Amino acid sequence: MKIKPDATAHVQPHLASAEQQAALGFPTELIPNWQEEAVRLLGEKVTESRALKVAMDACMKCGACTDKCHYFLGTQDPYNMPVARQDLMRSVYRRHYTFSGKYLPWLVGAKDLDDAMLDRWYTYFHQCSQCRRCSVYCPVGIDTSEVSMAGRDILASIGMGQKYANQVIGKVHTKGNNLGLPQPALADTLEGLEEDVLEDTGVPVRFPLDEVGADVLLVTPSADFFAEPHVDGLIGYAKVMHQAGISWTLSSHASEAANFGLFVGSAQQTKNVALRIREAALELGVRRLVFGECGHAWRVAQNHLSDLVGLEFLDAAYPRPQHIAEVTHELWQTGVITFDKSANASRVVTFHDSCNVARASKLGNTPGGQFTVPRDLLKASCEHYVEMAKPTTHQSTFCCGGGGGLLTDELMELRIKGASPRMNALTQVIESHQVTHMVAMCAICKSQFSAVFPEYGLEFDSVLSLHQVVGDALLMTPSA
Amino acid sequence: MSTLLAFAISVSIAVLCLGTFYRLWRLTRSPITRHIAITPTPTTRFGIFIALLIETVVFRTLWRASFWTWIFSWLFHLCLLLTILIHARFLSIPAPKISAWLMPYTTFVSWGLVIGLLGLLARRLLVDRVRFVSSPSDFLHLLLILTIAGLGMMLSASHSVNVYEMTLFVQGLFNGAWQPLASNFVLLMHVLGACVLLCLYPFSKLFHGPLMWFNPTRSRPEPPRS
Amino acid sequence: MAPTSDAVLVVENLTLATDEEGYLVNRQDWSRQVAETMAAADGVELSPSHWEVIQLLQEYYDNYEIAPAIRILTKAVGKKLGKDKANSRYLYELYPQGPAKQACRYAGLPKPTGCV
Repeated sequence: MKIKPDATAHVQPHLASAEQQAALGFPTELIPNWQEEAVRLLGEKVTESRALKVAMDACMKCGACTDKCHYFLGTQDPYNMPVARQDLMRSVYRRHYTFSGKYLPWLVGAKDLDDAMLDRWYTYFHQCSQCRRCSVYCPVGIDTSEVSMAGRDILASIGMGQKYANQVIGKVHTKGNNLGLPQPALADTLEGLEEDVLEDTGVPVRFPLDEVGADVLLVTPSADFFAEPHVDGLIGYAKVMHQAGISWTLSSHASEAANFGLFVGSAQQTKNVALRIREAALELGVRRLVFGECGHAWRVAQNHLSDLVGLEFLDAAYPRPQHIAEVTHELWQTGVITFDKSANASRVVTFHDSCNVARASKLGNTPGGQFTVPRDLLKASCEHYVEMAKPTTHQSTFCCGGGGGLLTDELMELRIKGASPRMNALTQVIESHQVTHMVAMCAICKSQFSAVFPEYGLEFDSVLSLHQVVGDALLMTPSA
Repeated sequence: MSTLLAFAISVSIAVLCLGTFYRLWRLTRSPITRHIAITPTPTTRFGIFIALLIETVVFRTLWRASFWTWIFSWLFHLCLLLTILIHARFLSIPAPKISAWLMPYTTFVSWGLVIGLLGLLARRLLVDRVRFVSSPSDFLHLLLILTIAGLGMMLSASHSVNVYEMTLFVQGLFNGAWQPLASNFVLLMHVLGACVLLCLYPFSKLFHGPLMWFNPTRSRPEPPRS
Repeated sequence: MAPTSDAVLVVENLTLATDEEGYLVNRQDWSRQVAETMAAADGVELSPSHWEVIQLLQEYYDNYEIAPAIRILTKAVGKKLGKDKANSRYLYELYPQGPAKQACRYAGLPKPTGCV
């Protein structure tokens, strides 16, 4: 793959407005001493993070990562090669914090943080979906997402936050979710879903909201209330809970699983967003916490939630927290729920591993459960299941092209191009096995594919939620 | 010449050891703020140790990422290790067993080293993606090692180094009783080049091996589900 | 650098503030001409069906301060325009850029954010 310099140099997200910056405690415009402050923050961040320190020091420029990023493969812009993206930060770090960079900058590729470099930081730290596919192929395991997260936090801290992510975090705090869906609208939406499911199945499946004393608090991305195919996944969770007789509730206070604090690289924002979940769980007195289909939310939940906010009050008999897919998987394995594959007879499905589930989390108790749990469920509920090409699945899965805080319209060119490696793999199985649907278990993946499928000649609704497929095949007992 | 060499070798070994110690010490002080393992990772510390050991010995990740880079860099690193072991012949008379066993293959090993380095250099020059991210220092590291290797091959081919004398010289370094060496310009350059390399090692990208062992994406077992 | 919010929409001598993506900053600025101007810029002529959707969005927004979820919208469309139109495919035919986003813009409502 050849490089095309500056191929996507013009693709940038909108800057956060003064109000959107102020809402998160960031400066409202580029501060006068931005250069000095950015360099100071960079030094601080490298000192405070071993992952970043290794990223600054360990790269031997071997080039193994250069053709692994979906954004590079889709755009051929050399700054979308992970090593070059890291170099944007590394070159400035070297210039200011290493002997050779201070005195022999030309020798070691050390560079000043000037206007042009600042522009590149803003552009290319926002052309990384933090999916970490490159890290899988890096001989020393350098994590590019740590670099782009740190870069974004520095940018926001000198007055250059990104509109989309900042706006979303602001809404989580004022409305409880990324969408800005207020409690009455949420209640109305859920009521509508109860009617729909009753009409479709004849079973009075409930979608409880803010019910004190429920066993399980389900925290799910707000897209599950709002968009398709997400909402079909939510219906699937509700059906499973109903059939298994689990008492559960949603919360209007924590009506969002997503945590964009991760995307903007701010430990403080991540914690602030995560705190609502603890508060809601305590308020409702639940014993278990279960997350819906959201990739990065699960990454934060499984790896960090306990440390960030403490989940000691939950029932220790269950993992704290759990993912809806592992809950469903266990119910199926223990025979509590059963599937009728014929319900999905007309579907030939394949599975898209979401980056944050595949490479940053686990499901169930066996190593690699993040790969086997969703596949087991699909194979149990579908007659026709097909795998995409190996280098594009499991740990090597390609990002959908919209993750990491890039799911915004002004980046559509990048999103379309970045989806191309996944689209190539999907097109192959469509041609060879007549695949009709690709299943995903992440709100971002689902929205991104709905948006870019038409660009590749597919119907927007060829992407399905995992629990939509599971829910459709679930055998429901008509209850009184 | 022997004084200069003795001095250079002593200083560079000191820099290598102290520098390595310093870097490792700094790394252990560098905090791991979040669990960021690239999953799935082994679940036990022993599992992590084995995984990192395999990585260190056969460069498994690079094998998955890029065959050509893997073949050249693995060849280079393997031959570098063998070259170091062959050089252990200068530690004692008779030569240590491992050196004696390897000595007949010196030419093969040297050529392996050079071919590996040339392959890496060619990749850096010819693949535009890699060229784009290469700094002058990246080329110079390769050229430095190539130069040292070339000079070493000249010495080896010309038999211009008296092994007995050289061994006494090396032993003298450790005993603090420095022994004289016959003047030899090629040898001087070969050893000085190696000294520069030893000094560079802890303070450059050449230190990537130890850094891998400290990288939180690889070095931490997955915590059990609580 | 991407421009900050200083974009405008000109409708019959009136200059209305919009954000970078063309959504009205002040809902009060909305008029039928606003929707028509926006649609014309996209090469779309607004049919009665388009207007039904716009009206549904606005009514819901008045009640709930948010655009309706897709399920609610399709159900409402179904009630007004017939069961065969109670699906998102129909809405995508009307608003190919996505009913929530494109129709909200024409309706003078803010863009839905988040993972949608």
